[in-house]
Amino acid sequence: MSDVASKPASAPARKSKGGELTTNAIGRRNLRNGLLFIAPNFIGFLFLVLGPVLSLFYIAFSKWSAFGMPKFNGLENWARLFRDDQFKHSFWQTIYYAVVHIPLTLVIAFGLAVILNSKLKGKAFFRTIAFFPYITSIVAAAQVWSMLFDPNAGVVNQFIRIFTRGWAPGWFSTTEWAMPGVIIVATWREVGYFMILLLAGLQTIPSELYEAAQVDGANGWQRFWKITVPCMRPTLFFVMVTLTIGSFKILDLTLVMTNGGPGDATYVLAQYVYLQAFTNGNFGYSGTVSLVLFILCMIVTIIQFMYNNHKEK
Amino acid sequence: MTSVTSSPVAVKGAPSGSADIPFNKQPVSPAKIVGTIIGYACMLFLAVFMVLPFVWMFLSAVKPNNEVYMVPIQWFPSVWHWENYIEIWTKAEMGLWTGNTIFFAICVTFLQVFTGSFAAYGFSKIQFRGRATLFLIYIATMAVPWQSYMVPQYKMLAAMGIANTRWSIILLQAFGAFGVFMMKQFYDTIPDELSEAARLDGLSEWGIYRRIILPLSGPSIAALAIITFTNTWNDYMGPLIYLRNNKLWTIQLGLKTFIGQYSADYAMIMTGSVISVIPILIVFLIGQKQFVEGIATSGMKG
Amino acid sequence: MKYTRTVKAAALASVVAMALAACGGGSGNTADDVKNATLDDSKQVEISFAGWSLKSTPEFQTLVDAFNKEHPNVKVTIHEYSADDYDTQLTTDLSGGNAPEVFPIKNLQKYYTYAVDSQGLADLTSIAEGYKNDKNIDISQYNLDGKYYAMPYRQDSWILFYNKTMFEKAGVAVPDGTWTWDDYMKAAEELKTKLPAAGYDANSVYPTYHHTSWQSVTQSFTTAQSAATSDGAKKNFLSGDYSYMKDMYNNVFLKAQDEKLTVDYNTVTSSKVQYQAQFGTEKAAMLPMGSWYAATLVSQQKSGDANKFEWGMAPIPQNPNVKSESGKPITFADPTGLAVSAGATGDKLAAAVEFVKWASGEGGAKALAAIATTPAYFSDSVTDTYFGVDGMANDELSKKAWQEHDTRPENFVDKKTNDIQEKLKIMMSSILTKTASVDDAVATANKDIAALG
Repeated sequence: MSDVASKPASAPARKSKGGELTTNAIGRRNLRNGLLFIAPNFIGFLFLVLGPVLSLFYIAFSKWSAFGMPKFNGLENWARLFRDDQFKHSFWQTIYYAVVHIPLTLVIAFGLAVILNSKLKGKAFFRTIAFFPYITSIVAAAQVWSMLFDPNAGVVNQFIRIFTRGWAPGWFSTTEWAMPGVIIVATWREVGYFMILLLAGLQTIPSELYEAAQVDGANGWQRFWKITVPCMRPTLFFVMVTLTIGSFKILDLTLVMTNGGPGDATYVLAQYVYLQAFTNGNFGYSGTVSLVLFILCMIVTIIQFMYNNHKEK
Repeated sequence: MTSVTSSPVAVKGAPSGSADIPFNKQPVSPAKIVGTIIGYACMLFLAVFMVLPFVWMFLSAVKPNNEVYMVPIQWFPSVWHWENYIEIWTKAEMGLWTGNTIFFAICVTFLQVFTGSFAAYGFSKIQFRGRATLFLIYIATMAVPWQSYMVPQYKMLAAMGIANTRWSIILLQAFGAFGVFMMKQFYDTIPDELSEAARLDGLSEWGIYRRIILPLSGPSIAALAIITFTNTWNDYMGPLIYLRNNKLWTIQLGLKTFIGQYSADYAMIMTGSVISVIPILIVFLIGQKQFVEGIATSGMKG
Repeated sequence: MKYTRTVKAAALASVVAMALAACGGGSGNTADDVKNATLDDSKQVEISFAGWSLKSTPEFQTLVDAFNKEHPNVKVTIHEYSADDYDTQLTTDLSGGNAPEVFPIKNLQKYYTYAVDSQGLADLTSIAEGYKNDKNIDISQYNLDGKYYAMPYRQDSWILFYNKTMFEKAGVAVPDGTWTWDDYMKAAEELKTKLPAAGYDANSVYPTYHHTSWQSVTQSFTTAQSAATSDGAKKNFLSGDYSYMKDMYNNVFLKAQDEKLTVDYNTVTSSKVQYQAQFGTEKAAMLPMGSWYAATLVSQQKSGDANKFEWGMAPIPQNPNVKSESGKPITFADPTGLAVSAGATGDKLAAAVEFVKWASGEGGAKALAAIATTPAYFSDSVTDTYFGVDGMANDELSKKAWQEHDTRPENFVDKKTNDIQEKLKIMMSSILTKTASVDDAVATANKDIAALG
């Protein structure tokens, strides 16, 4: 079985072919070709995305109100971060959200993708349904979910009370349960989206692998871990990274559902970034908070990157 | 490397057979049938939760405005205002907004898929110096919240005279890192042997891309197209910042005109939102046909 | 490799520089330019003017049309902005240096940032001088060290709307213009017991409605009524000690929600309750709200979106311990002002200044009053125009409530205002969701605001 698991793409023998000179020539040819392929996207990317993004690295060390030029002020913004309780609070709320939301969404979306990739009757119907939350207006979603989560009359709590002899969480009216509520709604909203990406990834697994595994007598669970997961590794890496970044940058949903409340129970970093920039006019400090968010995302991404490389070897 | 690993290259057009992941065992026992029924019941139950907000949206679209956010909530309208679906075209400029949105979504999707898959090929299949670094830079830009660099970006485009034109939205959305990253990861699943072999046969890089890789990327292009289309279609902040001329407005921006400073016409917003879902559904239904299990490498000439 | 690296670095640096330096603001006009700008009525001039949600907000078109009658040579083009995200759009406009010649300042919250930081607003002090001795308009809220960067054209104020029909059916005395918050609560309690007997559904009909989606509903009354003068109230607001808000939370806002006199905060925020629906469909007999609602109510009663009933406006209930120096009832609301872009020059500047001068004065006020929008200039003829609108309440108390008040800002102009408002919003949310006691929430807010420095 372990043979099956190794990635079909690896062909180490081919890579070290040719002498010094040709390697160099190939290297130059590859560089030219590679850049040619990348160019159409990269030119747009450089000017429209990378440039403005890099300017953030200056803004984060400046005082700036969005008007005129940013004024460099060294580490002043960073010193402020350490005194800023609201920043610290939203930092931990963001971590809380991400840590629960990422695995939850990944597992459900993956399960959904596998089920809806089988020979299930009506799978086109179910796929469409699963994508619906992502295209439903977020305002409508917030409205209906707050109704379902109503502490007294909501369907969710009526169901919970069957098992708990009358106790039920207060959801959006309590500080403890507001975040779990937001996470549930976010997961509901995003599984369909990630399901699409995973479905596309599942298409790349040759069915012959499953046939061979079946001949070997592997059961469904083994096939999942020995074939599906390894073959999906590049896709999974992509899904993990976008899911992680998306979770750390969560904003619309908390804004519409709770606006950070009750109190500041669901106040996340992205909301703080927006508040500091567009409400308070502190674009410099807002940039500093963005940079923290960026560093947070990158740490997790690089860990995933290294883990992924390690597994592929 | 065993025969199993190399099979994708060797086998051609083999019947995909019974690749059975859950739900698909051949011998039918009564327990299995009951299980299947329970499975379907669960799926249907979940499906209801998935569409409930949409149903609310649909019903709110035909309510009198003051009933949309009524306390306690009221599912059905007291008077059914079906004419909202006509009025939004006649009294508001829904036609214009839809046209603009379709234009933007198609241009952006096309550019994103085209340049994205092109660049992804470079990143995935051509070994060149610095590609890992460059690729990491691409990913890194995704980790920066847009609201923190949108002002510098706006200033730049405004200075170039592009703000408040159709170009602004197209340029803004088309060159994100998302498409490149996604396509690159999918190309990584295509065995390198394919491109290496073709290279030995003397095929140019363009030839490999065009004749070997592209035909295999149906599902991933479909996924990227669905997602780019949906995101461009539903984008609000981009058009909000860049478009002041109401002849260029998109649906999302246009629907906001129903919100005044102190009050709003929610029924109309819901009407517009319901209509706005239809094109996305069409694109989704076309795209998801690409997700046919197990076609990946078996349908290809070795 | 070295070469390519240098090229790469240079290319990146230039891209970044481009993004950063893309000019903002530009050379601005001066106070003297504004003062000396005179509109030549024989020349054709075109200026642009920002407005939001034009279909549901007719005031912008009304102003332009009425202005054109007096100055047919000036063509004013309205650019439509979003009502919700107007400030985001205006910020990018000012930052990119392409703001329209005339644009509204929606409230006072961002006035300081725009006026001081952006350098994008023309100095309108010369217009302000013309209003120095004019009792009909109050421009003090835009005063920044003796300079003015905007002129008010609308000055709403918060008043108490009440449903006369419901009061009469329930047999409860209507507001008489002298109410304190205690009187208000007593009336609400009386309505609570008597409304069901009058045939109103006890589960969905409330005596009053507090629109707690807005933090101003709770805290701005309290702050405005905390001192005899506006400056005193501002001092309290910036003091860093919010203990003065405790009584109002305990005795009015929290109590009203505990006794089910109003829809509670959780429901208001999570189900996006609309105050127009609550009051307009007779789900609430009273509604503390800004005077802008009168226009909405009139039009909704005409269109059938609101029920047909008799209604009136009364002064907002008062804090019995604090009297205004002017003797008028104390309430709050931010003015809505018009500013001129610092980038406007020559004829465009002259036309823009003339437009702002006209819109803030009696000419603009009459045009606005005719469409039931509360202007900033309150002369007697403006009042007559306003109450002459068909469907408007026009008893004496309504007129008095609309015209006579000591209105303090919702957002006092200061660089700390936004930060304080944010903390106070969290405080309100904690109190009304009962995730913290009033004492604890106030203590937390005091501590957080002190930490801002």
